[in-house]
Amino acid sequence: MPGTTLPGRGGAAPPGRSGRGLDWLNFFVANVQTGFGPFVAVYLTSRAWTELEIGFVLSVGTAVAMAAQVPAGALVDATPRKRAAAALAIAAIVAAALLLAALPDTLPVLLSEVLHGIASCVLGPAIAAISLALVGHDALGERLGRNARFAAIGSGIAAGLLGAAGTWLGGSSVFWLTAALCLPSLAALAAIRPSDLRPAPVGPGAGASGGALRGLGALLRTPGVLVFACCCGLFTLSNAAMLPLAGTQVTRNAGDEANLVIAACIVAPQLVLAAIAPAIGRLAERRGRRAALLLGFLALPLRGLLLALVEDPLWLILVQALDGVSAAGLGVLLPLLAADLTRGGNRFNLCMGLFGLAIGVGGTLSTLIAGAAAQWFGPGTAFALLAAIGLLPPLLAWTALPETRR
Amino acid sequence: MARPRPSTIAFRTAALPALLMLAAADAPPPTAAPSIPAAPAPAAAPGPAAREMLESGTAQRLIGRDVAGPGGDTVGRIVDVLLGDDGQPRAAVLDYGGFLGVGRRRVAVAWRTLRFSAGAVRLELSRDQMRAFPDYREGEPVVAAAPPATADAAPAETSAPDSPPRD
Repeated sequence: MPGTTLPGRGGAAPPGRSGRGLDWLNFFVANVQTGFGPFVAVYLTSRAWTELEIGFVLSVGTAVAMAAQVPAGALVDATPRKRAAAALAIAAIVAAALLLAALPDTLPVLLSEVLHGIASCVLGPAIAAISLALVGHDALGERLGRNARFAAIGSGIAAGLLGAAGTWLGGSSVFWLTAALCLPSLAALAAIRPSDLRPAPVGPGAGASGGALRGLGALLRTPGVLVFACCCGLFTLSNAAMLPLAGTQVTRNAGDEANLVIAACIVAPQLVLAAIAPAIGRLAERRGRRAALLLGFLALPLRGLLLALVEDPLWLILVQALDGVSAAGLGVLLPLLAADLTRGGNRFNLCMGLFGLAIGVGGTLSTLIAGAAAQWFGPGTAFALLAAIGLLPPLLAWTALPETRR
Repeated sequence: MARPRPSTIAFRTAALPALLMLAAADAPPPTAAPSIPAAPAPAAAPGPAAREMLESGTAQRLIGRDVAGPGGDTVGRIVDVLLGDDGQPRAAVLDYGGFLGVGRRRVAVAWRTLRFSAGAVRLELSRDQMRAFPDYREGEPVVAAAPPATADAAPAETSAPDSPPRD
């Protein structure tokens, strides 16, 4: 499976130096982003932060990340220098990691969260924009599949590496390591030749912020944009709380091997994702976006249902591996649909920002709803509820999403 | 330094007499200035706080400290301590388990299950023993994990209490 990128595959040329640079950019950026997950709360707890303080700082980070999505998308659209935007975002993430590692006090951590929130909003769209500029619309599905594969391998490896660092070396080592991993990200970015990037067509909406606002209005009236944004929101509403909830279940029910099981629950989906993401990309190219999307979306309610039923750790890992299927579906199709829906214009990243905002809202509500459901009615009910919500995105996509492949 | 406060409190609680007292206090003969304001019984004022030096390394903070399991690897962090009315610790609330922050939960453990040594806190209950133990929730009756009733004496493993291998 990993050796399938041979020359002679229809359309897509072998990656070349810029393509390989993009591969590794995805790999290292995924590395870097892994540390900024739930581990921040662990780290701050070990620095004698109270739950309230941690909750406040993380909420500020989440709010900033949501508020910045659409403006950051517009910004990446507006600049012709996507590589510079990505480099700046990575530099901001370095600063965020260093602040966390060296100065875990209220203001620096707040600043770190804000920096990281904004930088992530720029980085995702910038990488997608570089991908589009590198391969063009016709080979984008396959390229995005490749991006997702390298990102998945990156997060899988980083989860193991940073998890070990957190356990054996102490909390701050995770963020020193994160900052260090930004350096190879920058090197990979530098390996992408500007001359290989075809500039996006200059369409309406480029330039001033008034243009971006008008662009947003036009975007929202494009058939499919709102439907897919709703799909993204509902997907994350169902998806985001599943792993944390399953992890808590493992800690509660498994004994000495609990940490290994949770690590496997984190890494297994990444392996699946790495294995199938390029195939999902090809499926989207050949059979259409809807088919690939439905495949990914359907894995989600199935996973929720099985999580409600399964208790044995080994089965839990297998069920959790289904996450790789749905993550591949969303991870490849989100930028692909954004590119399709904004074809001919210059609103690709604005559209990605809009979808990102929907994901942010869904993710925030997800943990709230699932947490409350688990507390009042037990985890089984919470999983069933998440599974029921997970039925909505495939339903919505099936009934209301137009096929956008040309 | 301590003078203004009592007078303002008195002013609030009993305005009129206090006003009179204040007037009296405001216009003392200048010679009476250093006198200590009416402390009825003890003649000797308590002196300034004594300074107790803690040698570095002999005392540690508690909140946020890593807790190791019987195997020596970190299993959680102390997030709170529950005290009895006498001020004695009864239980510690731990942020327990998880990998990279995924799967943590709150549990309370009886204070006597924690062993303190230089630079380390050890929980004498294994993950297996903590299996299916109820979560700690604020505002609800606390269930703290305690050593199993059958093994009152030290279990076989805890034979080396004073050799904390710390990296």
